[in-house]
Amino acid sequence: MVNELRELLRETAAHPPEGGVEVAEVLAGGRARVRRRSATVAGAGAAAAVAGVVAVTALVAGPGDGDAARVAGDPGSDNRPVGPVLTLADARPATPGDQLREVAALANDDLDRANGTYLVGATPDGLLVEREGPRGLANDSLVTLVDPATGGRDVLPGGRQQVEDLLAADEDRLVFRGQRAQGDELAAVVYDRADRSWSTVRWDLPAEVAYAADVHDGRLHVGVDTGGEIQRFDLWSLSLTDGDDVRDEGEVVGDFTVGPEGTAWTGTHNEPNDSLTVVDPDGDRRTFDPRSGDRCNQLGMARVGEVVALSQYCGRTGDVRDDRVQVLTDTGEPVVTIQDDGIELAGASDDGVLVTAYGPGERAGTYFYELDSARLWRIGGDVGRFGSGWSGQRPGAWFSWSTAVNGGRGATQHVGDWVG
Amino acid sequence: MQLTRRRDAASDEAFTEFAASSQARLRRTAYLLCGDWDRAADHVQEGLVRLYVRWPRLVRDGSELAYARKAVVSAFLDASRRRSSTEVPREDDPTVGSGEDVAAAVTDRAALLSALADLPERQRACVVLRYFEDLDVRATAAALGCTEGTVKSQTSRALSSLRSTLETERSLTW
Repeated sequence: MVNELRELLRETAAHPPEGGVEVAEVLAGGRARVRRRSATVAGAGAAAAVAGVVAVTALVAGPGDGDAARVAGDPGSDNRPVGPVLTLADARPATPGDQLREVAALANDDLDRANGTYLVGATPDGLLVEREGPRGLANDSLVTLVDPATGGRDVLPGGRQQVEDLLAADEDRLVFRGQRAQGDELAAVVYDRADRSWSTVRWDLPAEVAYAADVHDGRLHVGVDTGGEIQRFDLWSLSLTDGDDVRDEGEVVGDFTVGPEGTAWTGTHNEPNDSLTVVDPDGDRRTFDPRSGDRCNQLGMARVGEVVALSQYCGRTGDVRDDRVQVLTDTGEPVVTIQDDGIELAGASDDGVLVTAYGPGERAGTYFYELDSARLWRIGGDVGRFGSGWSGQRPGAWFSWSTAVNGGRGATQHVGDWVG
Repeated sequence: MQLTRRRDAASDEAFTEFAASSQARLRRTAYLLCGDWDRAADHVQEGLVRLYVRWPRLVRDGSELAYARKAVVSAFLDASRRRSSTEVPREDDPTVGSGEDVAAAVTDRAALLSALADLPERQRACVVLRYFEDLDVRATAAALGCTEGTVKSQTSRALSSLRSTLETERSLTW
């Protein structure tokens, strides 16, 4: 019987029309996706890294859809935010000097023409990490430590380095993601600030490193592909000094943060999430439902102190997106949900949560939710196509945002702190 | 430490060769899943892009085709979830004529496509993978990311539905 079915299936599919798949398009699409995944390794999931330094300098295409296909939920499900809700219209402009102090600014006039120079993070002792590049055939970068108070510049010895995103910066070292680390191998390029020397450490992992990276206590924490698509990862930690020291932390995570406050992770990434687990430094562990909307895809996460911020895409009504940044305590108490079209979480600092709103439109720009006053402030205008932002806990809760210049062909990167 | 394959020009060349040689087969599978050649090409394209992301590891394991097949099926299932739950792909085979006087064989193919379209997506995928791709139960379960028991039960239900539909509507006896 099934033999007839086999034959019928083959006959049915035996005469495809001409055309089909353009392999060149596949190749281009594949390369683009690899680039996006690589960028994500230092992206939203790492926004609250321990050393207060997580940098993303990338071509910004707006907030991700998070694949609406996975926005399921039964018709009777509740997709409404829990707790207070603010929209961008509730924001008031922040006044330099009153609420915001700009520590440094750096302009790149024409990023369409060539790569530029970026402030990619800060050290706890008050220096900015500047990266020029990558450029040229070697795709390498020049790294400089800049003191914004004095203008002093320390070009790091060793010449140009093949480094990607800054993963961590503390008193002892700068940790960059190494270039060309693909597949199951991951590399970090580490600058020892005392020895003024560079070294590279490589780890061979059981599967592809899929998402996010946080550094804590001398170890790089990464999400490793569990073999499914991109919703859950195995949490591994890797020694920054020994490439053979790799450890399966025994947790399956979605988005995650690892820092002095402990470890926290969502149950899923890029699909609806009903679980948030927090493990305190003393090992106390709790898992609860963050009560995100039933049809909200979990996209990113940041944590600072006792506050967790989650970035979500909750569907679309006509042309209007329902994007949310949900802020809650690490025991599950709602703080606020910022809900609007085209927003995403950009980071969190000691004083609040950074939100980027993409254009076009007058409301495009960077916003700051101040925890103390429970107010939403607009701190910068249109970010344009080139966003470069990071946030940190020290020093002074510095964070970074961008504004478009030169008709959107370039961007000015700002670093500041909240003075409230 | 163990050396791993990097993504380089040679790797891209190998991928390109694999994609070119496998796409026709994958497209046929996708067509049986979705019933439309254009959408089938979309699913294959998405599947091959997913394949590219994992290519260095897959080459090392020698599992390129299995992953490509799985990726295409996943792309089809993802797309099906995006579509309206009430929408069932029923587009005509463009290689098939319409009307009352078409050849019996052509009618059989159209009837099969229609009957396949009436199946839930996962049942349809079980049928296509088991009887077009000739995968065994274990390989089908791996491709669908489910248990072997699920494959058996879904296949059984699918065959029962197909048999009923085709025997009733088209007087096919298989």
